[in-house]
Amino acid sequence: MRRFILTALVALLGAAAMTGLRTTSVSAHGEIAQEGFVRMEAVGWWDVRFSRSDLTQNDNMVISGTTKLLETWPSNMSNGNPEICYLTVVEPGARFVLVDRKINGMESPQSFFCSKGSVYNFSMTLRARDPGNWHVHPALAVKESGTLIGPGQYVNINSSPSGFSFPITLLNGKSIDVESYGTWLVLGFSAITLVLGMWWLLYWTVPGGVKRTITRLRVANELPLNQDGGPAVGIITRRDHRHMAYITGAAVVLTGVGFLWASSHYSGNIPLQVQWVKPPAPPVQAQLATAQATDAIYDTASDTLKIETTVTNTAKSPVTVSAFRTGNLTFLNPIAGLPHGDYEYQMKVSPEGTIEPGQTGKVTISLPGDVLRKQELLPLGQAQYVVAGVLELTDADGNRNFDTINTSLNPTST
Amino acid sequence: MATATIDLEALRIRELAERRYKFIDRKWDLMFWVTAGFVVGAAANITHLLFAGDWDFWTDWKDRQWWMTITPFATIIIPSALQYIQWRAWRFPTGATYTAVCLFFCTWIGRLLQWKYFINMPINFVWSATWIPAGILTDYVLLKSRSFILTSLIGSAVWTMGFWMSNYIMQLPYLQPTRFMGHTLTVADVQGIGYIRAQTPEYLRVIEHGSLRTFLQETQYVSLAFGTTLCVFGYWVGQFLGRRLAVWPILKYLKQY
Repeated sequence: MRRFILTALVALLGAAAMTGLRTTSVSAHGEIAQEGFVRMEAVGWWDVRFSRSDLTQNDNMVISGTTKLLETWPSNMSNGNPEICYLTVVEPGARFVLVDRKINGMESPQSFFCSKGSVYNFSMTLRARDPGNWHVHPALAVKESGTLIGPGQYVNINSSPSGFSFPITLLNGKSIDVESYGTWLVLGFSAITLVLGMWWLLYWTVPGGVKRTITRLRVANELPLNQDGGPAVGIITRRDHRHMAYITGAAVVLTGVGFLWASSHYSGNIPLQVQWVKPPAPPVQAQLATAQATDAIYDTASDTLKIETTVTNTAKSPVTVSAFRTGNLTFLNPIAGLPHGDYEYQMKVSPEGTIEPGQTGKVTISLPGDVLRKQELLPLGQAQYVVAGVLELTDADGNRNFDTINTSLNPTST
Repeated sequence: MATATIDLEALRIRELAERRYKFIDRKWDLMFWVTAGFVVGAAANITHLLFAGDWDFWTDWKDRQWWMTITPFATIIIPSALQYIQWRAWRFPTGATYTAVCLFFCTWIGRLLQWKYFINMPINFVWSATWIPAGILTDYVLLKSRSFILTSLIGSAVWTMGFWMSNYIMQLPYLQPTRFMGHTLTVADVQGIGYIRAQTPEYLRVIEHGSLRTFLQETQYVSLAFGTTLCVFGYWVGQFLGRRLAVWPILKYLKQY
């Protein structure tokens, strides 16, 4: 017995020690596990901004930006025709609570109807919940395809003495904290049912040693299946029936009275809601130029991916290739801006300079191979040797034009 | 003469029941029940997760159409098998309650350790349903009827209704309406939106979206009726498991009198 108690104590201590191994931070969310060509062809992200990077519990942070279901959406995903989307946040557990989500200005609490080629300007307001340093991304989930992750960043949450709360007001005017609402009813009712269940079980298994288990097998084996032998045999007695009736009665009363009480106390309830919306189209931007990719060559010698494009300026002022966005990465032309954050890099554009109004020019953008390899965006050895993304062109007034380009990848050295 | 024979037979069995064995004491009984608890809890939990995982995981999946249709069916299988095993072996009407209690411990340990403690999901969003009242009622049906056919018919209905009524008590607070992001939603919907599940987008919820096939718009009762019918089927799946996969192989090696 002493050995048993000792073993149990060691097991309990071990279990307690294991529960102390809490995860404190996660820095990756599996985005590079998805095939590169799928990420490049499916969704584009730009202007993703986090309003804050350091918060205290209950503070709000807004993630805003634009995402687009590209015209190059892969034919093997959602049958080539995405229809239902869900804009979400990828984070290590519910470290933030989402309190507001707007897509093209429309409140979108749940999924929304989407379509290939559509642009969605979004903002998501997150309320800081758990203290820690968390890596957070916006993400777009597409039905029958999966979740595609946008650029992210670390956000720090400091603890507040008052802890976290998630207050809302019910339609009956009552204010509740969603974080704890109804918890004691769940725990209390579950515990009462456990008491009843244990009562039932212990009665049969350890009622003062009368009803044994293992040795009873031989007795039960003597009787037909639909018989218990009655009082003469005495393996199930009148006392047993009476006792079981008490417990069953208690279960019926608990359930029945509980049901009536809850129905009255929580009256006015409604079924779970499905509120899918169709966001309006965003304001149409002026078309400054058209762009078409003609070739993509991976040069192993320089470890560079070169994408050749033909750009036609249809505006009245010169345009510049300012950025190329693919997957959740942005490659910036140095003359347009310097990279910041973990998802922005530089690219080379040749020839440098602008494309004059009415002119068509060939522009080659060179992307660093090490970055693409690290992000698994060089689809070598994958099912489709393609390169795709959004080419951003800017005119002298700062107006921007986003063109989806794609072309076959030539992996040979030049 | 016949009565005397029956009485003698009853006395013989009674003596067997009251016989005390030197080397098979209560410690073996205790060890058996505790060890079996892990196996039964795991079997019930796996079946539950396979067939009704998400419905019983999140408050915003516990709807009045699918939750009530799928979960009673999914969770009657192992209790039914255990009812057969425990009745066949010991005439204990305990199979459903025993499974429900084992499942209670399995699910709550998982919810508290994995979901509450490790990733800090609020427990009022990921609470586990209880099957214990339903288990007690179903075991009572077997005790009184001593018939698996009657228990499959009455017990399945009792299991479904018991499950619904006992868990509806806990789910009702989360069906209270509120305005959130400019829409009328339930508290459960707000939980599902607020507490972000990155890889469980909202459109994956298999819940009532509305249809033309509800009877006088009484989705709940249509689902309960259908759930009961499915539950009868599930009960016999469990009986098959109990009879053919658990007891029959053992009986091949057990002395028959």
